[in-house]
Amino acid sequence: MAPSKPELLPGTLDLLILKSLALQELHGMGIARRISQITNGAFEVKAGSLFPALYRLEHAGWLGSFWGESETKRKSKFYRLTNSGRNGLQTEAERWERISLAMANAMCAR
Amino acid sequence: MFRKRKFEQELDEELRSYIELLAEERVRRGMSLEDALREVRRELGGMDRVKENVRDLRPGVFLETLGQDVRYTFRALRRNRAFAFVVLLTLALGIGANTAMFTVVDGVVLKPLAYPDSDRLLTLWERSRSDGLESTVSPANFYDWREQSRSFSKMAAIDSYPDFILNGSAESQRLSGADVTAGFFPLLGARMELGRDFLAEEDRPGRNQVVILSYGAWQRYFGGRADIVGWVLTLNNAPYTVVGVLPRDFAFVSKASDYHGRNQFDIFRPMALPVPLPAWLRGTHPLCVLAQMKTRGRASPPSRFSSARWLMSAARS
Repeated sequence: MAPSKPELLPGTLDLLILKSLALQELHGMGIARRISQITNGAFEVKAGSLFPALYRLEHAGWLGSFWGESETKRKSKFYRLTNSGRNGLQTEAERWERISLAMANAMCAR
Repeated sequence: MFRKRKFEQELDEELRSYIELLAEERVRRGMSLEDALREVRRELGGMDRVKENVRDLRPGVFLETLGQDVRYTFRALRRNRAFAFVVLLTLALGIGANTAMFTVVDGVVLKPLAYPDSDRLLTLWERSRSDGLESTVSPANFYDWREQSRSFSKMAAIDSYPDFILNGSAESQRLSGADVTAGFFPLLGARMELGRDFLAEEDRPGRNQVVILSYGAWQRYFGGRADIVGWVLTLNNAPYTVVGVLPRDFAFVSKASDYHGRNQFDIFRPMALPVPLPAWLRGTHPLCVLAQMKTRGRASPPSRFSSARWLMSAARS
């Protein structure tokens, strides 16, 4: 049986979106591609969860958006981190580090 | 409304560009644009679903969909009158049945009896040794219990038998009546609206030519006249003096309703059992006996019940 792709843990999608926008502004598809890239293809984000998450984060003030042109000159909606989004990314990343370290320790325990 | 339309437009546009960007990727890998679009759409499995997921996050979306549902319901009901009628009828019957049920359960089970200390109020019954049947109580046992049992602070009895024909006015009236022992009304916490309760000495043979009227009977047969106390009524061709009128909220429901459909008593008379009891009264069992338990100690009601029961059988034997 082929190993199935891991389900996104609750809250990890938001963190991955924030992380993918840390270096540059991206449109929706760009974010999905970037997440796939930085997780070595482990996570494929589907539109059904991506766009609600984008809306939620924008509504919470962590993301800003504007209409621009894609690399292929197509009109697209771009997202970027706001200041509070940048702070959010930092605290969430630290929290995630603690969790993943704890989980890794727990799984290695004998 | 304007903000909502703008939101929808932007969402549409954003998703369209998302699909086209995905398709472009495939075109770059050598697929035709049409095939690429078709494949992307199939993989995404319907953009409406995605839109709904986003829409559901908008504030106020609950009220919006509720409004839509309500409008849709009314449109559907208006189109199909017969169905609407059946729906309304079903709802009405359902609500009505539930209300009726609750009213009965509330009155019978949930609400305490409308008497003071109703948790200590009991009806006492006799059980025949020969056939084991429960019945109302014979006067002899009532006397024995009242004198000998120590579990009860008060005991009184009512005999719902007598009916009275009221003569005197143009038309004779039939009043549903009851004989009560002294202390019956205080046991139920009833204070007279007018006049007084029966005196102890009126509960004796030959002294009981006095009556107390229910509030309803006072209104119905005597127009609620204020000088009713002291009137002499002719009942079953004998004179009786009215000494009191019960308050409006006094209720003691008799087991059998009479042919007028009334189940409350119009008129009360002292029972005036003879002392000692003649032999023929020992064999009759007409009395409904009420008693109030004593509040001694902190025993819970069940244990007080059983000790009362034990004392009762001792008094009888």
